[in-house]
Amino acid sequence: MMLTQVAAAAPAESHSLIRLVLAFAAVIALASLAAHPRVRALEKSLGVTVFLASGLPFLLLGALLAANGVLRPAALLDLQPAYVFGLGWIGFIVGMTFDIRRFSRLPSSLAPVILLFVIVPMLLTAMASASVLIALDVRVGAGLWRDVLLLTACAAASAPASLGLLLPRGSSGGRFIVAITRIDQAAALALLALVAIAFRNDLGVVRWSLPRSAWMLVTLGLGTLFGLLAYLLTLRIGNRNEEIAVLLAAVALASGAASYLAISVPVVAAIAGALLVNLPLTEPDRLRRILIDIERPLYLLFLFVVGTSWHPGEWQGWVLALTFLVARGYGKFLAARFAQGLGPPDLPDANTLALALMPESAIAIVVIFSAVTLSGAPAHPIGWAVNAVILGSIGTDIIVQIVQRRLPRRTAERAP
Amino acid sequence: MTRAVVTLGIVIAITYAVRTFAPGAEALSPGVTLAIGFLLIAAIQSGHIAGRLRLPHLSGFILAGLICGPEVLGLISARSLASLALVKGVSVGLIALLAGCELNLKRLRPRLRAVATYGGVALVCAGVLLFALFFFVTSVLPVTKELGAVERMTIALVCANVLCAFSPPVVIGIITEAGAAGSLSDLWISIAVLADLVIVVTFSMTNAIARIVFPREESAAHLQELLLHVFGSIGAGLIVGIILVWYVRVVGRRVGLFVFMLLFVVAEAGSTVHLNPLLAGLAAGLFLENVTPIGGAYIAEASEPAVMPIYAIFFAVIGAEVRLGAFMHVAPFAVAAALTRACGLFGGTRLAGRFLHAERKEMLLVPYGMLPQAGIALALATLVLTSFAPWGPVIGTVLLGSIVVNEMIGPVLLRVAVDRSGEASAREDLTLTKHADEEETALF
Repeated sequence: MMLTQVAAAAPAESHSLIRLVLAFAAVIALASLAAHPRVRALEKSLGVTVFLASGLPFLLLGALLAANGVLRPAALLDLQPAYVFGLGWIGFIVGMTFDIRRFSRLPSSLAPVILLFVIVPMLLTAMASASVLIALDVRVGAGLWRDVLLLTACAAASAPASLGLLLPRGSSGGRFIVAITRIDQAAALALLALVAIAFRNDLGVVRWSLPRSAWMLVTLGLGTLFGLLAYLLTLRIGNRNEEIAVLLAAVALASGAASYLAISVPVVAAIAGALLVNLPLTEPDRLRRILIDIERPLYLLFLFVVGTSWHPGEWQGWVLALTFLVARGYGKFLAARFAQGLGPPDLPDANTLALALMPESAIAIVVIFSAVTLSGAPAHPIGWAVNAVILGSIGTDIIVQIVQRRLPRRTAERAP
Repeated sequence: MTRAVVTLGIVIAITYAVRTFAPGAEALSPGVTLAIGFLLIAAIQSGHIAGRLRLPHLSGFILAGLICGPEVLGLISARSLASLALVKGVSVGLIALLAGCELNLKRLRPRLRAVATYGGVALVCAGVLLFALFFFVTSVLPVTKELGAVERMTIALVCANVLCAFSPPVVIGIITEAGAAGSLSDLWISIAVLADLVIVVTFSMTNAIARIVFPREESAAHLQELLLHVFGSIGAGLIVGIILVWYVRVVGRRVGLFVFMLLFVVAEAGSTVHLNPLLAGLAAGLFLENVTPIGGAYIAEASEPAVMPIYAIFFAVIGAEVRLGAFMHVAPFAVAAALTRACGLFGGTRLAGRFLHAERKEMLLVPYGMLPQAGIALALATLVLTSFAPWGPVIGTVLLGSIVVNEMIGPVLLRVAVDRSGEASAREDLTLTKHADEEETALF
């Protein structure tokens, strides 16, 4: 009897091993493809976001492997630290872009434009998604406000993916657009921080019993503490390899501590990053370069893990995605219209501005998945919100591509 | 040094405070990311402190792990430590890969006789002395003194085999840290790597003998598993090497990260089919250096940025795994075993040196590269501890205790030997690698 059991178990084990090896081979092949110079050149020439060009295959592969049971729960558990670290690293990079000295060099007339680009898409998305969620029978106590706020946060974040195609290199318009994306990404993270605190669930199994306002202070304090620690660690390091090691360590510690305390990881890391970049660093550009060097592979791995917990099958998610895409896109378009006449004179025209700020930032996916991690397993309705953000990102990229392709023709038509 | 001490204090305070969040040390998820971040910072700072005290940085890493580990401060729980097995697997793989990349068999050929003679004679001498010691020890320990001579000889054989293991990661780590290059450095690395291969193979034999003398149901399956473990790991390493060659030729960007990813896959898949990341990494490195036109130096340079964090985490984890409590119980036996081993190694190399007509300096310094012990020895000792009841736990603890002694003292002595060899700081500075071709644009 025992022999029979062993004989039956052996093919099953070898079968699962073959599938596991094939899965890893696929990830390696994809990673090679994503890093290939030709793919990178194509991505740049088309002006598509990294998510559409390289990230989407990782996401789909993760979803496919998890759905087919190829990835064992143990393998997913092994990837969990990389996922938490990825959240922290991305948050840290976003924080590092928040250099106050650079913002102070921008014209003050850009402030209302930034405000419009943050507020209008957020408001429209909030109203539209709330209506759809209510129509889908999501009640107030069952995550309605949490999901509305999360979708609102994701609506703000934009990526300047097609900037190179829309504007001449080094133009002040491009500088303005980049500044807008910096602020709207920060706004998305700020809203995530609020959601994480307001909808915090301690389940009564922890020693720290604190009011919500105290969790706000803990979040800010932890971010500040890790920012100072990162500063202390990177101070007077002459060796690039040691700098990499201490940055990895600082982000891992910040992400690990935030995750352990069930605080939003990207928020804490972003506060730390923002503090670090605004302190007097000896070589801030070298630091930034290190972060960027590791950013893409981590982002792709992050998307692979995200894919393993993504369930795109529910129709409600698709309805919400369509709503999100339209509301957000229209919000950006309206903001661009309102901004004309308010901003600096060399601000690009409304269509260019709307198109440049239309693609969804990778931060949106980070925001929604950070919230999923904090709230537990992705069940409805938060699963629908996840769908909305991922599908919204893909849809927006495709629409921007279609419109963008018509632009050079238009310019040619206008040319004498 | 003050800054390192202050930073270490802050990090310990933060980690301690964060851990008070959970009602029990093990109640929440083990916080692997937190453990990695904490260990990395603690190890790097301890390495700086050790450096200022003229000790090897690796000793600082090991001490940081030991002090913060479950047996002393308990900042890293046993559960967190268990969760770091994958990180450890990747680290061992990378360290072994870099070791393989250093071993050019063509360059080594003229010295192969010296490597084989030094390694072989030292192993035999240490093995014979350890066998005699453990044969005596088994006649004293209550759990083994009732056994017959054949059984006690078998136990002594297994113990001698385990304690003969060297530590390629520590040797490579110390040599890399000192920036050493030269004939002695090559000799140290070659002996450590090749001897560990021999130890893994001989252990499969002594283990098989032990299972015949102390029979259990799965003996046959175990031998088969060990063979699969050795040859499967080498095969996996060759596949890694072939993939790397293809990647370098076709893509040629972010090679370091790709190496890391491949080793992650080996460690992950290896945990399912019991592959040894050390053997796999070593086979891949040897293949790259000796068979392909890419050469090991290219891979080593590309992986350079990962070396420091990997070393810091790996050795801190090794330190945290030290069973200090158990060591205290068997300290006299453990110290005796460590001393016997050292005597065997020193005597053996002296004998081999005379046979080879080697220079006096070489003869005196070679055994220092054989003193450190860590990964393989720990793994084999743990295997003895868990596989052979009722004597396994007692004898295994003695073995672990002896490894602790070699783990703490070996790196310090080797570093002194590297400095005395005159080969320190002879290596090209790889930290100034070219990154211009890897220019990347920001995503966010």
